[in-house]
Amino acid sequence: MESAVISVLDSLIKSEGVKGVLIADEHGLCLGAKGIANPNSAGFISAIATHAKSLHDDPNIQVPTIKIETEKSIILIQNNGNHTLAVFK
Amino acid sequence: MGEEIQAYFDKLLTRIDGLKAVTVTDRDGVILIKSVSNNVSPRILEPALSTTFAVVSEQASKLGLKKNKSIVSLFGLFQIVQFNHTPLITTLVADSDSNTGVLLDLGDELKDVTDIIASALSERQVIV
Repeated sequence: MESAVISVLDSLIKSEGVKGVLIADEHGLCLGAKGIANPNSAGFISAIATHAKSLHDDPNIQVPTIKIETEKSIILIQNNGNHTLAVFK
Repeated sequence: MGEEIQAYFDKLLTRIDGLKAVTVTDRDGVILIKSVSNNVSPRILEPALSTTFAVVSEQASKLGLKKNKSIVSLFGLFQIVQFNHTPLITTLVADSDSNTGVLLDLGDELKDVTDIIASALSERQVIV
């Protein structure tokens, strides 16, 4: 049932520089995680995405991409309404 | 010390969007700590919440998947996330559109707090 999601995650993690990838549903529950992405962080990652979205009331503004820089890696987070995707580089 | 724990639980309601109530009870439903948001009726905390969970959690532990850790119940208006922090039960009541993942992570954080309460309780019993 989840083979389609897994194949997407597999193709993402093979991309250059990608160390981890995580996808969460609208409830903040992890649908899949690969690499250095921790499945337990799905709740917080989707919360970050929803809060960032609420910074703008304007519906014409594109959905924001959040970039979190740490010493070891960069995390890119985007939420398109139903799912939240996080890429660890 | 009791006030600090109560203040910690009260603060949880402001930390997480949509969280309406937090309780720590024993398996019989006796409330040890309770924190309810102002904009919701205190009647959302039914005594049966904990006792029902205690029974269901015990049954769930017999599914052959080791001990049951938590159960999420989604309703139309609310969601209830409950944790088996033996001998105590932690119940979180939140809006149905709240972030369930964050609530589940909160349970792991609260386990440290309920462990302290549980050990304090067991010390009391020894003295008696």
